[in-house]
Amino acid sequence: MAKKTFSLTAPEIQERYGIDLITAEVIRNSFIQITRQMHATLLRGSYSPIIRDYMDMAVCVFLINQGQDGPEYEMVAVTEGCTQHAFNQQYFVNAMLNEYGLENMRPGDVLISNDTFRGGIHLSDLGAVSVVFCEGKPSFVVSNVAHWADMGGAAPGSFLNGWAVESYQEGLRIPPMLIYAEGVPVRTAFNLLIENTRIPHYVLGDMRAQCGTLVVGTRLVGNMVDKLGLEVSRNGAQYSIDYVQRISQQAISEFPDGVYEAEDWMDDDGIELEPVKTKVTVTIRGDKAEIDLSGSQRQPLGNTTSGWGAEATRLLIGFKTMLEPASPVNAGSFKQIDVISPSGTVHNGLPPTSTNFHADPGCRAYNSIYKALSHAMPERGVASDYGTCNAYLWGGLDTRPGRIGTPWIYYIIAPGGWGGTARTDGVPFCLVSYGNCYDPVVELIEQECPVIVLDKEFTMDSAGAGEHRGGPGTCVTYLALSDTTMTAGADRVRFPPPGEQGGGAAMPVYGYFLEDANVSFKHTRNGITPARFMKPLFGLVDADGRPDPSGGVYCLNTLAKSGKFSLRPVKAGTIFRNYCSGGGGFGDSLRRPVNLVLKDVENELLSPEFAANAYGVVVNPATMKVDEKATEERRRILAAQREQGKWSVPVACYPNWPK
Amino acid sequence: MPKYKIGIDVGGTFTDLIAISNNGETLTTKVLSVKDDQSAGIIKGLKKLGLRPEEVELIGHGFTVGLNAVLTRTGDKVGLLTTKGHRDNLDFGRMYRPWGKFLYDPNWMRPHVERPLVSRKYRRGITERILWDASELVALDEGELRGELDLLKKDGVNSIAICFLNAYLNDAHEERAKEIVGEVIPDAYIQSSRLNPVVKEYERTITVVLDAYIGKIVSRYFDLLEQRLQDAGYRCDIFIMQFNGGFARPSALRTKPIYTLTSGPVAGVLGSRFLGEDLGVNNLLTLDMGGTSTDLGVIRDGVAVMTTQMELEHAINVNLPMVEINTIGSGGGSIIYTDNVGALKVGPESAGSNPGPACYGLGGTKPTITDAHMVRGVIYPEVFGAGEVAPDLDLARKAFKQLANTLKLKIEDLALGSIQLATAQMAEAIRSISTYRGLDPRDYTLVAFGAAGPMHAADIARNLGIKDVIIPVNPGCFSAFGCCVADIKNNFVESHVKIIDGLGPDGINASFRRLQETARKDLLSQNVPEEFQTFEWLLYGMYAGQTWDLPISIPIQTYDNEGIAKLKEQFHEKYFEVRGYKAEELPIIVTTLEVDGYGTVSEKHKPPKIELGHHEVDRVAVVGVRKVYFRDTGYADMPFYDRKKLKSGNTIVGPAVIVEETGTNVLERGDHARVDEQGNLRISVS
Amino acid sequence: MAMENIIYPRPTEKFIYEKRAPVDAVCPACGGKNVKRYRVIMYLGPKIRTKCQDCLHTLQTEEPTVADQWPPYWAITRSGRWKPSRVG
Repeated sequence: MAKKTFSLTAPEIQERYGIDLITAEVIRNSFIQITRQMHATLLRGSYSPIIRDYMDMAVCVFLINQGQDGPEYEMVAVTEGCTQHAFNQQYFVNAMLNEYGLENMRPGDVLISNDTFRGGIHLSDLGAVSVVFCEGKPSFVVSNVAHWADMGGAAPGSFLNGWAVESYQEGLRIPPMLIYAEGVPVRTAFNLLIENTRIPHYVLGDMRAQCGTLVVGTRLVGNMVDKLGLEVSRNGAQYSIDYVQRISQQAISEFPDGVYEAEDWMDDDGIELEPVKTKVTVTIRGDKAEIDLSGSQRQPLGNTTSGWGAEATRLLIGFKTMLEPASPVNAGSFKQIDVISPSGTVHNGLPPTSTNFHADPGCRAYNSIYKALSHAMPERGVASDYGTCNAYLWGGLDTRPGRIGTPWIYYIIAPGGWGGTARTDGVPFCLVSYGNCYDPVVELIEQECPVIVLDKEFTMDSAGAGEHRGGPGTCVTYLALSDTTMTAGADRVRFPPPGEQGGGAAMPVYGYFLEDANVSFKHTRNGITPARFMKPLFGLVDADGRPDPSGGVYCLNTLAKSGKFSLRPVKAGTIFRNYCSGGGGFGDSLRRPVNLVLKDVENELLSPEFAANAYGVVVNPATMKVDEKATEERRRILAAQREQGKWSVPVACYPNWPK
Repeated sequence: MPKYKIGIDVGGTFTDLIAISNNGETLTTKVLSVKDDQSAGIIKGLKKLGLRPEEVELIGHGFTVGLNAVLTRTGDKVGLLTTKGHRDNLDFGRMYRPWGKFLYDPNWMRPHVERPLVSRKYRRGITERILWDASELVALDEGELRGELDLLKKDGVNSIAICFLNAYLNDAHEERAKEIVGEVIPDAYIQSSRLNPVVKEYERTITVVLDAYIGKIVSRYFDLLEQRLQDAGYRCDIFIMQFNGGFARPSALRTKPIYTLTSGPVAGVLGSRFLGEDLGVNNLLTLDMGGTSTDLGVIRDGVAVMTTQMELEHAINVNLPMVEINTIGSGGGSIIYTDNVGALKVGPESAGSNPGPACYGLGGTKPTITDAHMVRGVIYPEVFGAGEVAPDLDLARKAFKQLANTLKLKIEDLALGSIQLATAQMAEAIRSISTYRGLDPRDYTLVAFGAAGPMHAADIARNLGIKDVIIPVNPGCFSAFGCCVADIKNNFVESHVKIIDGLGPDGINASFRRLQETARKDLLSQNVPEEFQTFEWLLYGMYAGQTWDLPISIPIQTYDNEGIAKLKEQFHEKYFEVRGYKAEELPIIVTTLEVDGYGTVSEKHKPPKIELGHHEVDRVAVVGVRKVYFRDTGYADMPFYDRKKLKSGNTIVGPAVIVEETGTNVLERGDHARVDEQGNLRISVS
Repeated sequence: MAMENIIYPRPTEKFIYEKRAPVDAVCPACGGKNVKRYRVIMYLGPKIRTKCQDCLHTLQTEEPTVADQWPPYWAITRSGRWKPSRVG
């Protein structure tokens, strides 16, 4: 088959866009710079740590084209904090402006919305859109989206509350409406936001920052058009979009044509307590692709459901991760791929179901893409990551001297590892691929909240084994100094993160309560604590409450029935221990270079027992040296047993967990 | 007898030396750096300068021994002592992934995990715990500590970093641990949170670890340097350039070598500040463009803009007050190529000095920015490179051939276009430290130096709307010049993380009293008498609920309630200036208090004047007329001038090239260059 | 005004599949006859596309109508259904 090229020569660029190739590249970079400056403006002016530290936001510039059915909005450039916002804006801005009507927008208008059913991610993410008029005509759009700390609803944070089964209970659902009309704040809209959210001064500050960013963006686009002319600017924008599309075409054509299926499971929704299936079918033909979610399970009762735009976003992120991670994102990233998403599944919830805790279905979506495409091209394969939100929300009133009565909220989000790949081990301690944030500072948390962080380290034997192992999981422990409530959102408790191409599964997620602080200091080593000092909250445990992902039972005699629950009272003095899952392993663990296994044993990431059980490497713990002969023998035996179906690589977990 | 100040800047390829005297003489020279023995290169350079030791008043010196050790991971074997349960924060980083091409890449690995400074084996959690209110939850387990140290000692660990949680509030456990380390491993280098006693455990730990990583290496360097200088007969003061923008004596730096980490680029900014002060220009953007990378700085109202975080690699940061330098991978050796869909790109990959640009004939075949300039015709081979290289036009053109064929573009247009892209990249990098921070580049003057700075300066200025450019004398050794004109500087901090009213006058006054005393004593120990000491006080604050703070420079006085009220007002104003809003209803948290001490070490340098000339340039200064490529006219004649032969008052109107040994100055159509009294080129950009 | 596409009951089937309707057409790109029409999410959002199932070439892209229930939620006030007031 002839290899098609998607490159353009200088004369071709001149002919297609009426500008030379250098000008085209300079304009492409200028649009990116405009979003960088908007991003800097948003960071500078934002009020809440969510925008600055959690970086849960994105800023974009769009080109307006006239399509056969009306105006079309194509993202030209984006500066993202979280990757999911970069993609989601393409869907969301189109939906907002199509519904409101471009003809109703004027210079200085800012349109906002947060609605999942219109394509957004969840109620906490507020999008703002402004139209840039050049020579009197709507020519470009500037937009941004940011996560707000609270959007009303039954639970503070409006995020995890698993008891919300309807969107009405989750928070304020804002249809596309004006917050600024021709540069003047719309009083009624501001009141609606201020009066229905718990942190009104954050609302005011962050809304102003978002709108101020759009003013800056409008001005910068206007400056470019003044300098270069409208036609040249538009042509340069189109070149920028087409450039990314060509990269996408090139990447998809490198994958073999075919139909690739994968499935994955979410533990449960916290209410019905039955597993929820994700099914993904990827079809590749030449430079085009389809991703079909048919066969996925219907939306559950609990709030672990995504909207159509949120999930299409995660599927495309998974796709980009596997095919062409290095290129910039814009509308061109979407044009070669259609998503088929039947209504009413866990990935396309029907109104009025609650969709605020979309994080875990999102992980299943992109992990399924990893699976499907790893089958298509194993040499570019990626194993599943720790694959869950693993978030715990604590909050209440402080009782410490000097702070009595002060309200506090602490979002505990402890990530695990990413999956091993065909080329490398998985990176540890890294948020799921559709997010990206700064880790909260322990010392500042301990100032602001009545919490002591007793542990925050790798857990031994938690990484999925493989020729390239996954990133290890994390052991975190929190001591509450005041009464609080805990709302939990954890998946990958029942179904450990799977390996890929023969790699082993990683240690799944566990929750425990510890007796007292001494347990961390005196009885915990590399995250391993004897079961007699821990009371299981949720996890795959045995009769003694020990972690046992291979033979244990899901939530056997545990205090909670799932990793998802809401507003559980937690008394002062309670100590919560969370094991976050590791990343799945990639490839045959019996082929992992012996020196790398030894290094992990020396670094106490692997126990000698697990090194022998999962990697076939025999290490003398007294000398820390590998017994080469014994290793060769053991690997030969395990490979033979595997051939006969008598052995498979074990799920990662410390063997013979102490009682 | 004239006395000279010598400035020495050790770079990757060359060591630059400059000697300036108090009667207007300047000597410059360049030698090849000696890769793993930098002070050997210094001695070579001093010999080549040819001064007698008695003629030297002081030597100011920037080196990269520490930085190289970190980047190549050839530092000391470090053991890290942390609070039990918290020994992996170096591998955690701050959790986030870097922006750019790795953001979506599943094969990306955090630098510290891939190439650790301290592997997990040597990171030991110790039973101890201090709480948010400085109280002790768990006492230090000394027996356990000794056991861990024994294991570290057995493995040859000879440098210990100690960083416990909340030590910025109470470091009693760390101090006791230090004593025990001294007993178990007597010759160990030890560094603790005292280096940087501020909140934020990750930032503090990585800073302490970086210091411990280079502690012994830098000490050995000082030993060798001091020995060699003594052997060569030098008895003058020796000062080392620190990243906080001032000197320190080697003795003061043996206990905090991290301050030497990025001396070179900082010296360039200092030189620019001196220049600006001398010429009466207060707002400068500094551009130091070398073969591989470009360093950018900002001088605002006569003061170099500072930061408290510098990234060496992703999440490997130094978190101390320092001159802000933004480094980008764009230089004379940046390689020009196309990506997999044919879009033209410049850098960050560089041909460096080996094999170097194709036109150097040292084996490089890929086209670089230098080759682009060669094709364009602005390089004057007879002078360029001071005789170290002989650039060849045919080799440059050959390097572009394949790319030009693929893109179906003329070689000259490709060369010119690549230069344009490189210029746009550097302009963008400048925007990221100015425009994105709320500064308008049009209010600033651009100072350009380094091997390749002058070639791009006018175009970069044009791109940003900057009207004035200054190319100093000897732009190729301007960083070395910066090493001559600094003062001693120290800084000491205390971190509180308390609401300002809670800290109150007592807390603030006590803290500053301690800091002031420490700063004063340190200056004395560096032989700065009281009458040459000056100080600056800083307060870092943030609104309650935020995690990023902002410094304000505050009056040096004893504070009462009224004084504190004024501080609050000052903070709100500064916040508004930087962020565009203020929140007067929110309490202000004081995160850190800082005292900076300055000590002048010599008489201020007076730049010498050059010979006075006329408006029109003397004919003898014209070295030739050559063909240079322009997009609209093709190759056209352009005059070339010898900078050494220009006189003050001369004006040159572009297009023109002014050549010198350490640089090539390019003026485009309409650019207007005037030679000032000291020989600086003052360019008015069209 | 009917309130379609605002509130839906939870689906009763456990697993849900998207239907693709066969279309009598020949693909202009590859000549194939396996052409179907179905709901997709493309770069402009939810649309209806007629595509060749052999080579994935798109023959036609159409705007959904209310009856398509695509996307599931349709604001009854969306542009074209209700006239805008002075304030939106």
